[in-house]
Amino acid sequence: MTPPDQPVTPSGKNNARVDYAEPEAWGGVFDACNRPIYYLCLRMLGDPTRAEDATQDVFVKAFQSRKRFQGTADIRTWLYRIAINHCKNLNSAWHQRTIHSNAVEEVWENSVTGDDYVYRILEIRELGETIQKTLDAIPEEYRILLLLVADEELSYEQVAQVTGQTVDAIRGKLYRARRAFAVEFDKHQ
Amino acid sequence: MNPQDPQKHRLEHQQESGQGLKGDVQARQESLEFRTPEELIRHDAQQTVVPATLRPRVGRAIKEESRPSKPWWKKILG
Repeated sequence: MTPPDQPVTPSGKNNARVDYAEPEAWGGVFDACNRPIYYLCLRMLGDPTRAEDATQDVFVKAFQSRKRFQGTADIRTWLYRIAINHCKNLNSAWHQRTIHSNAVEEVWENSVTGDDYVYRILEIRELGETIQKTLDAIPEEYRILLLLVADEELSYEQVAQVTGQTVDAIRGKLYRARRAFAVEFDKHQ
Repeated sequence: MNPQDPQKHRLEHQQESGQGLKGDVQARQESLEFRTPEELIRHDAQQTVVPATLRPRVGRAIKEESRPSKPWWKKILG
């Protein structure tokens, strides 16, 4: 890979100028995308060591299938898709999925912790742990959605592309995901 | 990811300073406020440190992947 100061870093918007067939180009891909991919893996797997391994796997998988990447899509959304599938596979191998009953969904829906909820953080040191516990307590679909929407580089259209849903579906689910997150965050803070 | 706009969340500084002599101990409490889970998660993502070992690891793995594979007869005969 090229050193970080080389000008090959793709932002995801100039794909045509980067030849992904060349291993040298992947230094730039890594520099542009390692943080969001590592963070997604970290919060989906809940363990820094597993997240590190998974991030490496994601970049290697992307490199292996680089011929299938035509440059028509955004490299970032493509990496996100690989990362989500990889983490889902790892999670299903490690433990059973958490099944949330309709009753729990109803609690989230009817809670007073609504749109006006404000997250006041006093203890920064434990914030990561609290966020992890909160994300672990909500359905995987909501977790992925919140993690993707938190990336300012991604539009709703791109989030829809990554998750294979419509933009309208994303908006509806995001509303429910926010409520679920607020209720669970309150419990774990 | 764009660096988070510091205007997006309110940083409250509550400072209580003792009256009197200069150099009195100041008790300072900070709290951060976020309007949505996304803002909170974005902040957490920015605080998260990617392990420094990851870049060389990925570099080595990609280099390994990009090597031409041995022909089948070389794999058998060595």
